Amino acid sequence: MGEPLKLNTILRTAVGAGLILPALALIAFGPDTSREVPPDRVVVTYWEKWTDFEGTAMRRLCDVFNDTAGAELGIYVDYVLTTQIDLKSLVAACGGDPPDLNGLWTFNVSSYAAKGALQPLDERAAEAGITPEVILPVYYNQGVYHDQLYSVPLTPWSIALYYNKDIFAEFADELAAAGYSADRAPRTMDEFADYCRIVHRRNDKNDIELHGFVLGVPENIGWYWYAWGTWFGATWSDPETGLMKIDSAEQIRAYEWLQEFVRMFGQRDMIRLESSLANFNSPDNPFMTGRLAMMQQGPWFPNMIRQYAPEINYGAAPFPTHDGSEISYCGQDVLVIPSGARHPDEAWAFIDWLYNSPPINVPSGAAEPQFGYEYCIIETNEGPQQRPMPPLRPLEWLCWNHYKNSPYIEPADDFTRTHPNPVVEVHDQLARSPLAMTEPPIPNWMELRGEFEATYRDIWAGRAEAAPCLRAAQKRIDALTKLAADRMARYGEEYP
Amino acid sequence: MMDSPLLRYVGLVVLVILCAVFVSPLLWMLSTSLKPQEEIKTSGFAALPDNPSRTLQYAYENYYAGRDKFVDDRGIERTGYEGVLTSDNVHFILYLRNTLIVAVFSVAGVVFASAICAYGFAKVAWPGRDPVFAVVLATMMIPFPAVMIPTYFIFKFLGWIGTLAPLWVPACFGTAFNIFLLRQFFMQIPGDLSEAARIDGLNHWGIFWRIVLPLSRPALAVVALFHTMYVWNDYIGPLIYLNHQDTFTLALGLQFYQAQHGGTPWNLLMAACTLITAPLLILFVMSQRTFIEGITTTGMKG
Repeated sequence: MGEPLKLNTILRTAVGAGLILPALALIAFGPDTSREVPPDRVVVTYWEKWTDFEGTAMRRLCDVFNDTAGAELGIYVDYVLTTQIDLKSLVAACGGDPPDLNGLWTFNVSSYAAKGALQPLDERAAEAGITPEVILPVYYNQGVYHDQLYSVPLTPWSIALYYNKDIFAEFADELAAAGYSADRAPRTMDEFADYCRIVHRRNDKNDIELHGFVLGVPENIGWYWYAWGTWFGATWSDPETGLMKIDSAEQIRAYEWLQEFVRMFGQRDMIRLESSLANFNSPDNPFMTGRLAMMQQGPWFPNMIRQYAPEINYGAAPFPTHDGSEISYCGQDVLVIPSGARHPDEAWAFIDWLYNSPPINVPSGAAEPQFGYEYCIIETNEGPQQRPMPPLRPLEWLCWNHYKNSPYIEPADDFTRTHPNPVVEVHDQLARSPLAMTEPPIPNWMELRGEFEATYRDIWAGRAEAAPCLRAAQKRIDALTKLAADRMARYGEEYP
Repeated sequence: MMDSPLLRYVGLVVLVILCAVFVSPLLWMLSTSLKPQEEIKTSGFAALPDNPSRTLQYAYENYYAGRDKFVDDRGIERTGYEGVLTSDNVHFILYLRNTLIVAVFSVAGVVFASAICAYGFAKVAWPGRDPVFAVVLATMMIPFPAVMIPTYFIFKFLGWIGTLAPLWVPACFGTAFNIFLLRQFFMQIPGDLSEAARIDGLNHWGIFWRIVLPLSRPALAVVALFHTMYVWNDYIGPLIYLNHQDTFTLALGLQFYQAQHGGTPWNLLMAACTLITAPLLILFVMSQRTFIEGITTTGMKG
């Protein structure tokens, strides 16, 4: 006769069976993974990095194409969501198995083009009317490397200063005493420093409770640390040689200013404050929790505010500059056709449709009407009113749903009138600035930027003085530049 | 020394504090998965939603049913969302199925193949055995990025890109770490047992199957558990080899909750994380005794 079963054994067996049996059932009878691609269509594989609402919008747009123009042309765009698209694309390109269409970041373009991983798009773009006469130059030019066009804009952006109007109002008297108005954002760097000095509060323990602005480190809220020199009129590259330059007088002035700014509030206190702030993508984003009065962000920010802190009364303005001029920093997500793509003509047909289709409506496919698909909300004298979503050009519809500004020189009236981002006009205005800046077309830009970043961290933390630190970093950057130039020269290519 | 009640008490307190430190992220994950989106924004940790009586409702919404948009008491429109298990955009059940397929085949393959290899290195004397074992060990030093492109070429040649095969077939040839682990264990099994079995007429396969494997249950459990954890959390392999959402695994699918420019639904992300983490935790708790026994007998401890 065997031993009686112990409770522990019974329990373990039951839990084990409870895990294993459903798992086996799921493997055997789980969801079907077969896809339905209409027969007799050329399938264009399209890899895109957008997930969540951004990805959903692009997927719906592909659905509309597949049901309309795609059906007529015999093309089916297979939208594939992926993350870390730059790594995945590079491996696939090296392995000779790239997609037909790829959604990259603008800083990938020169790097990929220099490696021969992208197809030139000049002729196709000219035929389709995708030219600097139609597209804002700051966005069009970002796709150009060695005088050839390798990418077309998809969703563009510009960086603005977001400010909390209620916090400014709280300090209205102090601002007025200093000769400023709580109704507007600072315009120059001197004003900016004054605003930050005034909009500042500490608790009983002398910890900073509320602060004007923190630049911070990249993994936290300092996304645009490398653009700091921009506001002081600096460029990232030498205008004559095109080589990266971070020790120009303007760059040094910019980062010295930053060090002085940090020291004005106490180096240690600022670092403590910065490290106590949640990162941008957190619901505890310090702008939304009211710990920071100002933040540097793009047109997507209002969507986050809408979701997590709709009660915030905010505005946006051009980021302050050294002389009050309207310098801006712009970027975009782009579309490219990789070298070795199996169906470049069909991939281009989709791009052509995105740019040149007559205005369309994009159904959400949901049972209930959805914002951005079936309806929009516009401000009227009676307050916000729900209205049917107007037809828009596909590309503008996408930008609308991503809360971004339009890449077109002439955006559609309906695009601007119904746009969900209440400050989109500020971003549009910044993209049109003659002083709009973009990252330089340097093939190893990200490598050099990494060197710059290490330097920035030292400057931000006060571990070294800005000027010698930048000059030392420039030497390291020059060495890396020479290595890259020599490497490209071996293949008969010109750097940058 | 440790017989002193005071020291034992202090030791216990230290252990509880350390335990709390390790458990706190899991608690935050669970807690966040039980809150509505608008309550995620909070300074400080709140274990339950503002209205604790609605915890179950929020859990039901986040994990399963989702919710429609609504206007709250202050007149603010709150966004609706789909529950994790029923979302049209993130096919959790499909990803779970794919992960299970990879895990089952991969774990079965790696345990069996690694055991056979380990037996060959531990119990069979053949010329060049030790140098070959050193080469096997040396493969552990090669970082994945170094072999990423060549292996991609191989899988492309085999027509496996875009399928689950690259994620589990290589495991069926064993892995260096697991071969090493099992070899160490097999070497501790007395040679007399093998000799006795051989006298009784068993060949190497019989000794492996009837003697060595049954005695190696703890070590095999360790290999299985380690590899399950690896497969469950593997992100880079699926990222590179899978080309369509239909074949994605959980670790890859989880990324879909993170929008590029903010707006991540943290309550849903944490609900998905809880669902993904729970099976591994249960598995670990269930096999804890065998696992620790395996660790201690394979020389893996400190």
